[in-house]
Amino acid sequence: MEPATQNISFLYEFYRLMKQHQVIMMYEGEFSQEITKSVLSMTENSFSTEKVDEAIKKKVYNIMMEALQNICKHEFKNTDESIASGESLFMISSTDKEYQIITGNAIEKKIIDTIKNKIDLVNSLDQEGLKNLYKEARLNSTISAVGGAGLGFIDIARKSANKISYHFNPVNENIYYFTQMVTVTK
Amino acid sequence: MSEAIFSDAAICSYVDFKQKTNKHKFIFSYRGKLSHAIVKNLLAMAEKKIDSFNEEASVKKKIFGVMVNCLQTICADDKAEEAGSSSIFLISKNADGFTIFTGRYLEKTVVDKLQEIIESINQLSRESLSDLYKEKLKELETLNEKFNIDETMLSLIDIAKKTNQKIVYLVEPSSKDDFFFSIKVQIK
Repeated sequence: MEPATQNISFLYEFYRLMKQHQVIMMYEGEFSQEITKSVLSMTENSFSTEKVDEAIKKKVYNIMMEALQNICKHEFKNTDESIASGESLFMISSTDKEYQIITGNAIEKKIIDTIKNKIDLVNSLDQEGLKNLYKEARLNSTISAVGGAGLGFIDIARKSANKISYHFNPVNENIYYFTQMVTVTK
Repeated sequence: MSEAIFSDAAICSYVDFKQKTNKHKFIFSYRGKLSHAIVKNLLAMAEKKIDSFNEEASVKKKIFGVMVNCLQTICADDKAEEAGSSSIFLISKNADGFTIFTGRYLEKTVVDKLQEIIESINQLSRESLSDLYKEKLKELETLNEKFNIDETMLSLIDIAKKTNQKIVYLVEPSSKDDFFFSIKVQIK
């Protein structure tokens, strides 16, 4: 007898939903440096059949690397099964005009403002402004408690040349799920 | 609880999509092309994930064995020069244990054959499955086709033997000549 907890018919709907969003690759689960390497490698393999300019592929790949490293550094590792924060997520979708790189991970509420302010700042600048901000950030950089010089969002914005979209969804009073979408025009 | 904070509506559809998947408690999910190189990566990643759970070694071995069967034969498209349509591979964990779902598009003739195979496998005892596995292994010929039905049959028999559970499957007609074929394997 099939367990009542999991019907199989959702799978086709799930697959169609991904097709609707034009998702070419999606991974959900744990992230670590090793898994980041595997995801990058899988994307490279997936890309091998896409007929796109090499420069665009390189941009996408570099943005992915930054975004995935951000997950590794900042994701809140939920050990309490009663909190349904959801696994970390990486998705790449491909439309006629653009690639969309979507990442998601649980974070602590206390860092929302830091992330939001950084993204709002980079979104308000043009390429020249981003270049100057990058130089300034490098000169003033201090290695944060989790490593890195906080240049990730600036770098992502410069490479994509599009605004970064963000979404913070409350899981409970202390945890939010942070989703980020970066667009690369083909 | 507080409201969501977001920059623009474009991202919201992806957020909704993710929320729909949360209720299934997937611990690992992948949708995309499944070339040989990608399957190798996925197996390594999923193995690490399964290893992180406090399960008996025999359970972990079972799960990994089912995964290998699903990814290397049922889902794989490594015989094509270019990987064909995307497949889907999911693992969830709940009170019943682990569940592995796979799905992909296949031609009607292949789907019909698979249905027949699964229906007959589900009738057999463990001992009969072992005998059938040995018999089919001897008969196995490597075919130069995109989807090898004989290898898939062996994989399905092996899955049934390892899990001692019936294989649940579903066929959904698509708008083309292909059908979406999915299976669910429960590992207690």
